[in-house]
Amino acid sequence: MRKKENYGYLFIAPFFIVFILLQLYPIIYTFYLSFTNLSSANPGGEWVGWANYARLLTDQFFHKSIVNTWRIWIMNFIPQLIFAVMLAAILTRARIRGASIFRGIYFLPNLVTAASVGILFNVMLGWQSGTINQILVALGIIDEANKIHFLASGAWTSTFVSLILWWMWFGHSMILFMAAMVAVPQEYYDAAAVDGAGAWQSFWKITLPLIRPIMIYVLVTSLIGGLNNFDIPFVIGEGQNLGTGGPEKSILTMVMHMYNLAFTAGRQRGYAAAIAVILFVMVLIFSLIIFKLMTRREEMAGRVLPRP
Amino acid sequence: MRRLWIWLAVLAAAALLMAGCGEGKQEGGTITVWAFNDEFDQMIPMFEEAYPNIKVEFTKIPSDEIVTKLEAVLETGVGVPDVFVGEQAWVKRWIDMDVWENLSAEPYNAEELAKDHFEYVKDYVRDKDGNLRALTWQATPGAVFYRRSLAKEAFGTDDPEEISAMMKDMDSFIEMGRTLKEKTGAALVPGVNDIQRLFFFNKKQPWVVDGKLVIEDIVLEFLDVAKTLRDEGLDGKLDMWTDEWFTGMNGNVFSYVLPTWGLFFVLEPNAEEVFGDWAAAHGPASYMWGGTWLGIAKASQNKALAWEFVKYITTNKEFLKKWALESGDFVSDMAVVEEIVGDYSREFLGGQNHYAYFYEEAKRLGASGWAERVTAYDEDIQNSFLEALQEYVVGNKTREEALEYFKELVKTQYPEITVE
Repeated sequence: MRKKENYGYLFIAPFFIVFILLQLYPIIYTFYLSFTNLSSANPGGEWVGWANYARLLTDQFFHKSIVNTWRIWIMNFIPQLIFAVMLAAILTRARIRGASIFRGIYFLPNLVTAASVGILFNVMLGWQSGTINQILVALGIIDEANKIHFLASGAWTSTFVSLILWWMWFGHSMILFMAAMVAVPQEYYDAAAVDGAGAWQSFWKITLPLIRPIMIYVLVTSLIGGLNNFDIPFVIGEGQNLGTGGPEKSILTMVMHMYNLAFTAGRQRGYAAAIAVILFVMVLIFSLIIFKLMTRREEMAGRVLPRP
Repeated sequence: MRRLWIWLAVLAAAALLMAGCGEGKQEGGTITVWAFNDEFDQMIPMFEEAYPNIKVEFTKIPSDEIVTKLEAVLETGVGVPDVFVGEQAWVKRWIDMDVWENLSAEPYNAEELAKDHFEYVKDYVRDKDGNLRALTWQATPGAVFYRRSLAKEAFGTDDPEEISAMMKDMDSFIEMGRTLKEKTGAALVPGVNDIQRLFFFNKKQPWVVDGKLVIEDIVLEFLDVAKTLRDEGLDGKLDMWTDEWFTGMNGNVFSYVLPTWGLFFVLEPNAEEVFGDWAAAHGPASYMWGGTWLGIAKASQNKALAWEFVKYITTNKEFLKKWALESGDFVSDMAVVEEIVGDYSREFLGGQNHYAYFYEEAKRLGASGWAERVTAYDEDIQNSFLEALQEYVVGNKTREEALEYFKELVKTQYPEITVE
């Protein structure tokens, strides 16, 4: 009989060692911290039970940050999905000259670092000499005295953050959708065309259903990224006199609130850890729901489709 | 036997050699220094030239990361640098955390070495028992830098003495803004946040007394003055440190409220188009802004060498004089300032002797007793106040709502402070 080799474990060990040290341990430690009052005022960090979680219920900035996080994500994701699917369909189905150039251009914003985007948009959205205001004045839409202070308005600031995220990410989603669309066999479209289906009908009845798994993937990754949203709102808020979180704290996201609590002012690590735990649970629950929905749909699809 | 003699001779020669080049200094070694300041790029070679036996390993960390990085090593006690800096905004943190050596005690006896330092630069870094915990090479008193041409046009004079007299209090300052607007169309100040220190330095109590937040009338006055400036169109509507704010220096803004370093790091490099059209005046209040202190880590294994470094940079009069002349920095030692103050003149300020002005100002700050009112909370509380003030000024919140918002911000950041 052949002896079972254990060398395999040796080769997979590096991943697990790194995972345990740099991911599992911090996660468990964060859970532990969330039950202590570790902060500059209490450097020892005593056990306080559920006190941090109780405080979350009364922290108006935390409540605001949940609403902000979801609003910013939804306002960026819906247009992002529509644009990405449309452009992907156009670039794969229609024979456009220079399609690969467009693909590159749409993807480009994704490569710009958050810090540069922050500087760029702070210049564009400036009040007295901001680019957008100057264009509006030059076009005669507003006059010199009534320039819009975009970055003092919660609604404008939040909208622009969603817009930036949309601009940065639709190209990325588009590439994924294009890959999915290319994989759809040409025969389906040919058969549909023979049956008299137009371009619009083939898109709805063939393309969309067949790229659904990729859509779910994009949805899940975007949701996780959206709930962890930090860098763009942070760099937009940083340039402002209204402090991180923007006017009326309209772009204070959950992660930013956690960062502010843990790494500025009172260094409330314990309380910030409680926010991290809530965030973790939230991401877990919503990801599970989406996966559940996805598998159910596919079971249904599997049952329904083969019938004539 | 002969061998022994040779060894002894070699040893004696080595001892002589060491004594010769060390001139009474201790044996050499390497020390680690953490700071965010570019100045150290020039200061450290100067120190190493004077002390060839001590090598400085300098780590420059961006100013927005250094506090977090230092806190991490100080909490764990691993990898603490021998010498690290504290900036005005957060130096109190290190003093409260008790991570720096007591420089008033043996073997440092810094009180004697720093006897010529301005009082306030020492008071700022005393612990609750009155011991010095750090030293600095600079003092950073503030001024109101104004445009000479606009002053002539609006007030008929550009003389710093006369302008200072005109802006002796806040009401006169606002009045000047009205005249300016009428006669020249220029803004008095770039934005409302720019004048914060003219109020915060007139406070009579610390922000936090016995764990309770104290909101004094003077900061409420700031709220009202800011609103007045904005509503009457007297400020330039420029947010501090934005591109627009820098551009305003060449444009239609009368004055910038900046300290010593603001002159050569902020104004001079950015106001090129109006070079020479500036002057420094004393505003409605004496204030200071910024400045960096050096302390020796309690955890250091090289305290003697670290002290040589701190001592040289902050108290060696020869060095301080050389530094002041080379960089234009305003130094902390009054004796050195007095030596060079006479023949100083700054081209950017139309030949004004700004050193003389800052000298008077730094002495005044020491007498005001302000440094003892500062707490580790101040910077964050003031930033929260400014955040609430902005919401009020731009019209997002009413005065009452803004005050409530300020309290809520303080409570969230520091749950240990009682807010009423």
